[in-house]
Amino acid sequence: MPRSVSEGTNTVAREAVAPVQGLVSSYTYRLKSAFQAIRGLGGLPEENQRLMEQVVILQNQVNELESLSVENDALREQIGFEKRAVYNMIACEVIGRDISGWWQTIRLSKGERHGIRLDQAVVTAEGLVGRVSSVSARTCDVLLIADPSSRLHSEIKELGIYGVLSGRGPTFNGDILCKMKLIHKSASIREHMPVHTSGLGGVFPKDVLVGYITKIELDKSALYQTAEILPAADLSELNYVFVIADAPIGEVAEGAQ
Amino acid sequence: MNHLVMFMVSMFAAIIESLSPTLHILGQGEAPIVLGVVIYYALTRERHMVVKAAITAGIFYDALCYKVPPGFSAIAYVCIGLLVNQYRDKIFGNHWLTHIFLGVVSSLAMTIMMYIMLLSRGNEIGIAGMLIKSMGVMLMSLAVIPVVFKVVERIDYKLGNVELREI
Repeated sequence: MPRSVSEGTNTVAREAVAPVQGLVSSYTYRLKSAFQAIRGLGGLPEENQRLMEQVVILQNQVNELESLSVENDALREQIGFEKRAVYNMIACEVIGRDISGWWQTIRLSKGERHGIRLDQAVVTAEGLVGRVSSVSARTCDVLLIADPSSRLHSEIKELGIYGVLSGRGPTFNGDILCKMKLIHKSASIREHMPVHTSGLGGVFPKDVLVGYITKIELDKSALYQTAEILPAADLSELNYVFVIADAPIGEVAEGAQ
Repeated sequence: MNHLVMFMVSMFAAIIESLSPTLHILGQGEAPIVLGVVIYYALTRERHMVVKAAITAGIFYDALCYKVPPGFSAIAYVCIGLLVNQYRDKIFGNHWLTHIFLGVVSSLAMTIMMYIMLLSRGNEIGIAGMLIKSMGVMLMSLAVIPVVFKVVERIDYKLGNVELREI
């Protein structure tokens, strides 16, 4: 069979399945949420109290950040720096995972029509998830940072140290981990230190939280250290994610938000 | 009606398989629901229908797969379907043990075929990972294949495609 025919058939099948997949996935999610709600009924008052406290803390932080942002803008203007770009986020529902189980990928409910392009970064409120690795008109696939074929340039901001982060996939006890390699042996890195994207490499924007160091070991060559990273985003429980779009706010394709 | 049921069953099998949870300890081996549908058609239908079912299932499977060349699964399912169809009366006869046995062997064959294909395309996948995944898929097929067989059999019976005693 010619390649164009097989690829055409694949695209048609992918587009045809996507709405049904989205529907089934959303019902599965609702069912799961309902079970979790029933299970957690006993602890609802405490949960409510905790969330209310959190709202107050977060509201205070927002107020503080707003005033800092105004101050920062004024200072940047004074020293002639451009205003920092605000990322435009496209909210997407996760409608499935790679069926074969060979890859750490997810499929999202939005595609080219909604402004999604290849290699855009994907995040959740907690941290980096991965990058868009294939796009069709209404869906896209995201290669998670935990996939062994994923590579990204990352930074330990506290020390100003850079390294290359790749996926390790899930371990036997169920943790989904990454590895940060090529960290100089003399760098005094410690467990629990946060790791961010460096912004180098042109795919991921700078300063997005990737995860936290959980283990450190010396490389076989004894020239570098390798750190085990636990991603900040829970990659095994993704229901909604955000794609960071290229276009500035107001220029994203119709239906993106 | 036969074709419509086959189409819908293949599509939903692929969607459910893509949403079903995998266990890390089993190498993220997926529950082989689509394979179960192919085996069902191979055991209960004539050769031309087996080929159609395998191609349909393969197209849906590839559509939900990442990095698998379109058409690969269809070819793999056709090979498995035709082999099962050829030898269906020479194994244990029509028994649930047959379904389990065929499911385990076919899922192992499918995993190995997929592994070889991915290696040939330059992907780095360790043999240990493949062995753990094979074990996982075989264990999952023990539980899943008989259930898939029963469900599809019921659907076929309810819609009047087959008499239950024929199966």
